Amino acid sequence: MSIARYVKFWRFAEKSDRALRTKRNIISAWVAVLSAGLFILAIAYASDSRHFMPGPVTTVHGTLEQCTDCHSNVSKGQFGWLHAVFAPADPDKDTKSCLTCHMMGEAARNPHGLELARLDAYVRRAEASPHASKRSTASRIREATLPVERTFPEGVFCATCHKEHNGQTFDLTAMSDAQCHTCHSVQFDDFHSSHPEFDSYPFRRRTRINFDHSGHFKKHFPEWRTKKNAKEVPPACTDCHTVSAEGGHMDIKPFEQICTACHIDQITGVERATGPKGITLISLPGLDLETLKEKNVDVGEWPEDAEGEISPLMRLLIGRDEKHRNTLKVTDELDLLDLTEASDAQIAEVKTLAWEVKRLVHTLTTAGMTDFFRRIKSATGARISKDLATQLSASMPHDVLLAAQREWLPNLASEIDETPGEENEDTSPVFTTETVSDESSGTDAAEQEEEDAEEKPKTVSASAASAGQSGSWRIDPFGRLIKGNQPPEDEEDDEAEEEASDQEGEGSDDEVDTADSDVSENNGAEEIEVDTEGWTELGGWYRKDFAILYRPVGHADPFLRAWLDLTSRLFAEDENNLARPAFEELTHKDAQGQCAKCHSVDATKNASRVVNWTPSSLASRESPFTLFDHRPHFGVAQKDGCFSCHGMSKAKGYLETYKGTDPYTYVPNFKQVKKETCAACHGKMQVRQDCLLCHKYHVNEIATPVLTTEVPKN
Amino acid sequence: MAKVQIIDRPRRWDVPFASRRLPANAVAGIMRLPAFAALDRREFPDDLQPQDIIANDSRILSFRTGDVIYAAGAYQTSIFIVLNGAVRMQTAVPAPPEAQRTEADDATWLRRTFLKGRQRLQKLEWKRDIVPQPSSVLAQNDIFGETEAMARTARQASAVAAADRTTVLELRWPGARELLHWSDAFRRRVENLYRIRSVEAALRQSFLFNGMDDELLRGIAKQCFFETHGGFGWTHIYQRQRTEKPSGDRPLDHEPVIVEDGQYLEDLFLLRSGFARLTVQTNHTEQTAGFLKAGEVFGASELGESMRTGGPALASFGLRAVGYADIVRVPAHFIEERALHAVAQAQRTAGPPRQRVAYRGRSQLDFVVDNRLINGTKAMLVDTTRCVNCDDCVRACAATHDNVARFERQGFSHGKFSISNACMHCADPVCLVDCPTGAITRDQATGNVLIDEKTCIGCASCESACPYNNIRMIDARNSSGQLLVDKDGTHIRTAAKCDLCTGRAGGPACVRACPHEAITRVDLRELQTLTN
Amino acid sequence: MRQLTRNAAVTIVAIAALFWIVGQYETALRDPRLLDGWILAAAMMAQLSYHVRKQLPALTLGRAASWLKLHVYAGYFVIAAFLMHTSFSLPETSLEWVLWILFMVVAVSGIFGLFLTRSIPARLQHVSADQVTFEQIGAARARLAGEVDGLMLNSVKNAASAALSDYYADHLYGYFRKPQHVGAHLRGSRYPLQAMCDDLDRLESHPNSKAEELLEKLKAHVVAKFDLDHQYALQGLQHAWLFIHIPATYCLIAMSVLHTMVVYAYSSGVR
Repeated sequence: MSIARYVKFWRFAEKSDRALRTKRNIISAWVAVLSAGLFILAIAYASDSRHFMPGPVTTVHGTLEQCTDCHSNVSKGQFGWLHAVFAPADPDKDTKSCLTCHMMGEAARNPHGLELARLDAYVRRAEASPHASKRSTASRIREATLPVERTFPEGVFCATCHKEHNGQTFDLTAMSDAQCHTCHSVQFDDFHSSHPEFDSYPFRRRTRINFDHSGHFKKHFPEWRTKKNAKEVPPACTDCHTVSAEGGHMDIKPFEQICTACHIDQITGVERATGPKGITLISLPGLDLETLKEKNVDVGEWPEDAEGEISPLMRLLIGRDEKHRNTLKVTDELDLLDLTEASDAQIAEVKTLAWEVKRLVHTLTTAGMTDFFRRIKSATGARISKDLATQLSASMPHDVLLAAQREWLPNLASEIDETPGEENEDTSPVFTTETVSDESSGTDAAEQEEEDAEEKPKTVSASAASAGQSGSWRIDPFGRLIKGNQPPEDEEDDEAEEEASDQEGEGSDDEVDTADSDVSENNGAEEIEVDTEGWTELGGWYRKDFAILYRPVGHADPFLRAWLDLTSRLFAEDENNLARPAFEELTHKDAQGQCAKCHSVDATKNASRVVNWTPSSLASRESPFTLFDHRPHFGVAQKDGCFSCHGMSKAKGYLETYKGTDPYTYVPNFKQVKKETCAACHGKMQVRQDCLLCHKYHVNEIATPVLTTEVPKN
Repeated sequence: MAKVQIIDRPRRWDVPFASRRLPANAVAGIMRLPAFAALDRREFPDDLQPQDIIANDSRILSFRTGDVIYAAGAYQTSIFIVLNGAVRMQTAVPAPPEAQRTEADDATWLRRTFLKGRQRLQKLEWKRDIVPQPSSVLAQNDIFGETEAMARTARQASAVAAADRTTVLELRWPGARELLHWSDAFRRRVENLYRIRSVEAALRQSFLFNGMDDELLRGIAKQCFFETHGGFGWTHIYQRQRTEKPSGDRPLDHEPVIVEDGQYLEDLFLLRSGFARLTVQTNHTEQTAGFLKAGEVFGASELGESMRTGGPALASFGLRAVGYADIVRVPAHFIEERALHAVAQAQRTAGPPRQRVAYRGRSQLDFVVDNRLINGTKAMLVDTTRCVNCDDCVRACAATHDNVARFERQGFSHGKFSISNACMHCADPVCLVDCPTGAITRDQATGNVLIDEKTCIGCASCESACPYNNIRMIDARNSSGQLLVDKDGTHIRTAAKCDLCTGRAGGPACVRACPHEAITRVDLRELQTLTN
Repeated sequence: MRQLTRNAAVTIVAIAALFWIVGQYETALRDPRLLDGWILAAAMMAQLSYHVRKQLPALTLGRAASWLKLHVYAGYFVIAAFLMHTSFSLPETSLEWVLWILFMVVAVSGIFGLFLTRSIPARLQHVSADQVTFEQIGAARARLAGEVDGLMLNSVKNAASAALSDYYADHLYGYFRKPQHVGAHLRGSRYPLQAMCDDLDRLESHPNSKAEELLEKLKAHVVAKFDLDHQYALQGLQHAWLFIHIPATYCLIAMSVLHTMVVYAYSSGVR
């Protein structure tokens, strides 16, 4: 039985299936309308617009509750987004929201956050360096269809690379190598095959501390081992070097741990064969008293046996104004011990000089340290903080001066009283409270603080905005002379303070000594011959012959340090510059303390000088773009250890380069690291070789503002 | 707007064949022609007098030398009479079978058929390589064109005017039919002509007598026999069979036998029109082995074989008339004398008759032949394993035809296929026969059977004639969608059926609309198999 | 087969090109979601155009079969574009879930529908060669029920046992009234029919000839109804899946428009 039998009628003339299709269309229309309606209701009754999110924000942004915190285009409220649909979006507005917390300075919208001039310099350098630029076909297509200039006409915005709303644990900083390459004119496939060769990496300049590794390894260490104490020779690199906090540098341990065993005697002068072991601060120059007497030049009493010269440091005390600078200039040309052929004018200057010296001694003994520094201020224009002054004066005990004065110029007081004086009329404050501003002319204080103005990136710290004057000198907690609010450097120097406190004791000893000798002289007691220099073997002030000298207490002697810092900043190429002779005396090859033997001296941009006390600082890292961490490499270093990557260079001339003041003339001790060293693992084996492993995009620091919390008022 | 429009009911005489009815004196003159002289008015009903018929259903056409009255291959059902001048009958003879292979011969795969169905439809009709034949010239009072009118085939020869001022009388089929129906004399005369000319045409058409001298051909023709097996009323028998379906009896059993399987053959059979079934005797039952369509030959290879070997020619198949079959029997000795080479060639190249490589499985063959579906040249073949009953085809047909679909998506099913109730544009369209106004005709160029709605009077003759129920009567509407009613308020009906979207770009809308390529319009005579 | 390979190859190439182009866009530091979002939107519009074309069969805009093929292959492309646009991850917020679920409903129902068009016609074939138009099933069912009712009414007078009448009243009456065993038909199981026929056989253990005749007629009707239900279930499914696919599409389009508005509202302007 077939069902065909039951299909008797046919609807040939009627439209078939219309009912179903119509029903379907009606249902569809209703569904569309209802869903749109439900959507609108859902928006209207929602508490906020968070349900529009395509995904949660990353956990670090999770506390931002309002969409408007970042989306500057929409307004608050359930339907606040409606007008934004058609309003043109300005990506810069959203970028400003990001920069509220992630402060990146003025150049935030530039690639890498660098000023365009610097960026340009980098680009040219990259293009000039030897490389094989391989632009893949895909890259060419991208360049033709999506040129970078059109993508970033106004700059790179945060949202260009960092896409939020991808989940709580999404890595916002992830970028592919190809994405990095998009903007770069030098492109390549991967590190291993076609990354450009390293161009003088990692050494771009001579080391700040003059340490000849080859010389030590080949000559000094073997000598010390055989002749002296082998235990003091460091057997391994890590005895002197330690990994820095961020892993990129191998910091040097403090002098006291590694260098002192062999070098301390050089500094304190124990090993010194010739010359005074201390630095002359005050000395009575020798004068041709006969000639002066013949010419009826009255210089008052003057020790006949004085034979020395005006010390360079004294010049700063004497040359406090134009007149006296002229005096110094004239008397420099004379041999003060033989004035037979001097002209009257010159002799007059000599007289002036003599009286000036006497006045100096007098005021020093009577007026105190303030006068001391007033003189320096007059001479150089530098106002100094009291901390700095303490170091510059190294707590000179009064009795040293007094004893010296009594011995050299016993009647000084009365002489000075009788002589019409030229007192310092300057009554303005000498010291500043915390910082000292440089009121002098000629030197740009802001320039002087930077070690390498071109290369070093500016650090914009949060407190920079609230910093006071930027050109102020001060002593930082570690006793270093710094300008403005430079972040403190690594080294701690507690010992300087210890040494300073020791000065008191020594000074008082000296005083006693002097007093004794004075009494003995007056009472006709026996004179005791003391080698004051040898006596002051631990450093400090001493008087010898007609000079007051200061012997370095040890490494990082604060006196030497402070004077070097001051005179280096005041240094100028001009031969009349007063600080120049002082600086040269202190950095001479045979200078007391031998500071410049290891601490290299660089010329700054304005031709003053800077002494490199520390090996390097975070701020002075040479490659702002590159990251490197030694620590992961320790585990894979071969049996050669450090030499696996840093081979000794056979080039000669390391020490010669320190004779000049250009840090970029250099001969490194170690071979530059070549790309193939890195590529041995990065690329060939299963080791990462992506751009972000070694390079960073945000070259400058991204700072988060510290909370401004007001101190409670009640 | 009103739902109905009241018009006059269309009638038989509303649309004359010419722009207007022939004037009475012209009709009188025509009635005096020898062709019509024998017409006895008394044989005709009062409302259907011959002069009215002639006045309404004929027209007079004038030609100059070289004008084509009709071209070979055109589908026309008019009978012509030469009034003046001369007409040359130029035969177009199809080339031997191997040159005539169409794509249909290679379409063993239905999928390919589906994809190329459209191209196939266009290619099948006009692929006739013309081999020049001698022509005959007809003079005044000669009748021509009756062969194709009665057999409902395409014109076998071109009629070209052979003299200036040639005038002919064209009598369209509805009128001719009436004359034939009512007038015995007229019928006898025309049928006689039909027989003779059919034989000649059959011989000329057949590749066997290619290039034969015309004189000789006519001589042979006189010796041939023209037979009709079955009857024109086969459709009614068929319909009865379908509705009753007595168990046990197969349609085959009721078909008249022309040749028995294994019978000694003395003649060559040319199938002039209609269809014939090839059968084989297996296991004491007679099974279908294939079919022959008009123009094909039976017995050529057997006779050829017997000529070669000298043995007797035994029929390798039986032959039965499907519906009806007009056979021309050519005595064997003529074949021996004249057409040996052709027969031998046929035997070599054609091999066994095509239809012997039959449809896959007897059941498919039986299905197609039993249901007389082999008549269909544009049957709607539906692959029911692809059809998802979405009715997009019906919707598309309605959308292109005044919102009334012209077919039904059901019909004869067999296995995976079904032939829908959509007009198959039969090779032998019986629906044309009884139309009083000639509203249903074959399109001259394509042969598609089309209904002219303006002319249709809604008599439903075609509907009852169609053996497949592919014509339905629908309510007539005007172009604004208003129902047409007569003064009494009765709906005016008109016949509607699939018109193959003739005149529309892109071909049949149903084929275009099926998303799964389940529909194709196929010529069931040409298909090798209904495979998939 | 060649066509299938060609079409699949074109689709795969198109998807690969999409991934490549969006990757390049991302490499060039643009917002890739913007690009693949619009590509997805364009592809969805292309898919929608198929629906539009189906409503206009009179226009000769190309064959429906070609359009369907394009729709299916473009559908695969749309799925790939969607996966790309969602970064191959599940959504995390409510609006995103709505869009995701709607898309999945459309895509999965589409693929399911494709599967149905390839599997159901054959299954309909298998059972009975006579197919009924879906709209005619109701009338056919009514006629069948009428016949059975007549049969049973007559039989009461004649030969039927009480058990058979009771069985008819309890089980078969409802059976003939409405579509039954739709689940079994969808699964392709003939078990319910088997069960009913067994029941009927058991009812008349020693039937007389009239009862046997009645039983045979009844069974024949039961089979016919089962076949009719088969047609109903499968053809019904053929129509029903589009009731999911198309309304969901409209809903998805509406929500996608709203999604685009929200995206542009909250966009920072970075292209």
